Amino acid sequence: MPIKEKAEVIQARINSENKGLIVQAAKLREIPVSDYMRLVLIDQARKEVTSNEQRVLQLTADEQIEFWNALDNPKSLTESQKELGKLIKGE
Amino acid sequence: MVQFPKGLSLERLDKSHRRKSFYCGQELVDGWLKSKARQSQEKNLSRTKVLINSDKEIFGFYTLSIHQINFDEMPYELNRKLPKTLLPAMKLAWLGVDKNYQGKGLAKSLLASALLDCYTIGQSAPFCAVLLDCVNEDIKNFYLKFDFLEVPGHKLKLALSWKTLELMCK
Repeated sequence: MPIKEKAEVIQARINSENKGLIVQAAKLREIPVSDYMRLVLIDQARKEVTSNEQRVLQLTADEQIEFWNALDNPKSLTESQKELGKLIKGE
Repeated sequence: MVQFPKGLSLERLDKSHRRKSFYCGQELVDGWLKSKARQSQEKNLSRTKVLINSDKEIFGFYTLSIHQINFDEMPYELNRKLPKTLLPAMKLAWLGVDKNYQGKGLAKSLLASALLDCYTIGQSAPFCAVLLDCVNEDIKNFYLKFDFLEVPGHKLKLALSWKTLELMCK
């Protein structure tokens, strides 16, 4: 007879706007919020763990835009970066 | 070329280096050097350079590896500028200085040397950023002194864009 695995509880505090968003997304799939959390969150977590093992940095859509903009439009060198640059060049 | 104090030289990690006596005070960092760095190097997954004296005592070290950043969910107007969605990045995965020699500027010199290695690699194999993994907030604060970018959504990851690195090295 298979042993039934004990369900664990995980709690997180989020603001009402985000909660509303999750409820709305669950409604779109016509599934309970708990099922939505299990479906989406676990899948995302699995993806991130696998990616880390494969040496791929995963970011959400918004994070990708923010990070790419920071990489692509760097500010001019700060004083400490100029100092580090001198060290790199052996000056 | 980065200058180190007289009597110290930087070498690729090998069997002859005295890894067992290295102690920087960070368990994860010490554990990496003592039991994983050489295996990882032998599998061609990373390269570790050690700062040693003539007795092969390790004063500090750093490890570099290659990673990718997934930009698969970028909006079209940004995405169309990218050659592909998985962009290569260098990673400064580990850097440590032995407790006996901390506070002498060796970490800064090792960081400079690691960035010079990245820059040299970038001349032949392009990448978009150098990523850094920090083991805790104190280590993160050390890198933030050099104005590394915080990676959104990842509390202990920092980055330096290729464009910034290029400006620093030219």
